Amino acid sequence: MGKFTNFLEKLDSLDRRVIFLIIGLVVLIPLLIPLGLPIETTNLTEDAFYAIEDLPANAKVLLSFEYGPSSKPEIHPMAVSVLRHLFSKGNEVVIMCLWPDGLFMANEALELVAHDEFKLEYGVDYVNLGYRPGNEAVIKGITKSFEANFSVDSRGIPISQIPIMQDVQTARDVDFIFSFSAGYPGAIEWVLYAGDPLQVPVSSGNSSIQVNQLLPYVKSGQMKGVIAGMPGAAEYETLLIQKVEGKEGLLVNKAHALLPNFKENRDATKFMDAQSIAHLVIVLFIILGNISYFVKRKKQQKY
Amino acid sequence: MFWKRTIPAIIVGAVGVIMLLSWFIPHAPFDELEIHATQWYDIIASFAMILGALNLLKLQGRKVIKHQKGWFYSLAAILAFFMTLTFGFFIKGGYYPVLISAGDNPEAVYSRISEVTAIGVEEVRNLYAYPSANGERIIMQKAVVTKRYAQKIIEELETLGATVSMGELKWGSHVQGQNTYYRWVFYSFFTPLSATMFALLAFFVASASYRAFKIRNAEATVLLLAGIFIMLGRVPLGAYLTAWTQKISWLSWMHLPTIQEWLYQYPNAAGARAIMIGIGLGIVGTSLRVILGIEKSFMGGD
Repeated sequence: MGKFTNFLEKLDSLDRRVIFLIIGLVVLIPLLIPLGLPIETTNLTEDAFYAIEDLPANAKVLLSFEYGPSSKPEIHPMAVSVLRHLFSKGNEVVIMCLWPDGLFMANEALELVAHDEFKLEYGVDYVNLGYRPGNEAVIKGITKSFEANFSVDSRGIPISQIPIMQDVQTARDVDFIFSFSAGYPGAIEWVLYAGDPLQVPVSSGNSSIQVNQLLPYVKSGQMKGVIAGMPGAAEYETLLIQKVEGKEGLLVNKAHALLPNFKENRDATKFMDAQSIAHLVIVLFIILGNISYFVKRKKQQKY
Repeated sequence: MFWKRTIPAIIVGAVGVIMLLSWFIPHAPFDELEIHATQWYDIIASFAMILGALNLLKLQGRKVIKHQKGWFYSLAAILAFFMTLTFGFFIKGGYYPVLISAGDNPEAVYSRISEVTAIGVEEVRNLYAYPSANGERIIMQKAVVTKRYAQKIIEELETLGATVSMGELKWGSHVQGQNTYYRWVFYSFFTPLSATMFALLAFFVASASYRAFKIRNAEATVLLLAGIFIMLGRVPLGAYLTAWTQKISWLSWMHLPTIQEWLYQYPNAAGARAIMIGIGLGIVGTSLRVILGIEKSFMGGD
């Protein structure tokens, strides 16, 4: 018993390299050997999904990319899924970026979904207006005029010559705004400066850490659900697959043919096994740390 | 004092009042103010970026010259700055061959394009046999960066009987073009470095939780339990481990995702809302102080 108590006591000063090694392994092993844990959907993700699902076929959606490579594993799968969802329904997509690296993320997602999967036509089915500096000032600007803020798109084409932009003069002309955001400027700025003043519905996909700040906007109805971190992205992937499999709602012909692709390439779902085990191990660490703390404190009280 | 303090305060106050009024007057010239203000902001922000770059060079350069501790990191920062600047403004790459006609020997041309672009021959054949509006340009851009290499491919394809011309990405669009130096910097340096920095968080969070998350008092206990419920309830494993509670109606509230969602939607949303209202009132107060000229710390100095 004494030896065990000593062991527990020593755990308090466990070398952090051991913790790093264990975390490294518990992340790596499920990535190599997936467990295939089932994904349960939550209200937050369902609200975001059905807000998009309820859009009519000819709806124009403004997507804003406000994340970079550091938050890519969490947010990029959402961007891919939301694009797949919109193009599956035949919606048109206008993309802009408030972060400079968002442009690269947007291009990557478009190349996969719009170009490789759906083989859509640039400028007609979708457009990427690119990055503009100015944070919320850009959002405020496009509530008055897109052309004043984006004279050319990311390829240098004047937006007056882009077919999809002919009916989109201001942010008021889009039917839905979706922000993929990992910080400032991001979803909150879209609600404050575009969604609320123009009465255009807004939803967003965010890193897990941001969701706390967004919940008041979701609860008040100013934001139509939120895709919360990688778990939210995995839930969205699941909902999209269920929709295409069940042939629910609006669906273009290509969507059903792409179903195997959607099932195969769902990064968030694949990563969830690793995140599940890592969270469990961190919780075990916390419990172990507390046991060790109590053993040590009890011993100190004795003397 | 008058020029350094009073005049800027008057300008800030006047702009603040005018912008505030523009919210309540939806008529010219006030309704156009937001557009102009956005453009002014862009111009001022551009100058601020130049100042920021100069400041970075000054601070890091001083460290390198004086061989202060960690000077080599400063050197790396300066080199990275100039490399990105060069590829953004002076050398762009982005040259590519544009296939006008495959000629009399299309299969040989398709085969060579397939080798260069690493795209299957079948796909190349489909793209070129039934080209879309810009399909040809897209796949050729994937393989070529330099003018010299693009010229080499053009000559090879011409030898095979194809008619090919040289394409070049415009300045500006080279930032997001398929194969440009700027893109290479982004994907080869910036992406792995920032992903690595963020990934390290997982290790530090685990280590910090182990050492700091202790039940020292009632508040710490509540925080710890909420943290555990959120961490387990957000992942599929939490749902999987407590799936059995769903079969017993009076225990269904013990389903970890249910507890997690309740914590998220009620105590957490209430706390976040309180903080936001506080911040909002703070912003109103500070803005009024700035507009009225009471708050001058943003001008710098003592």
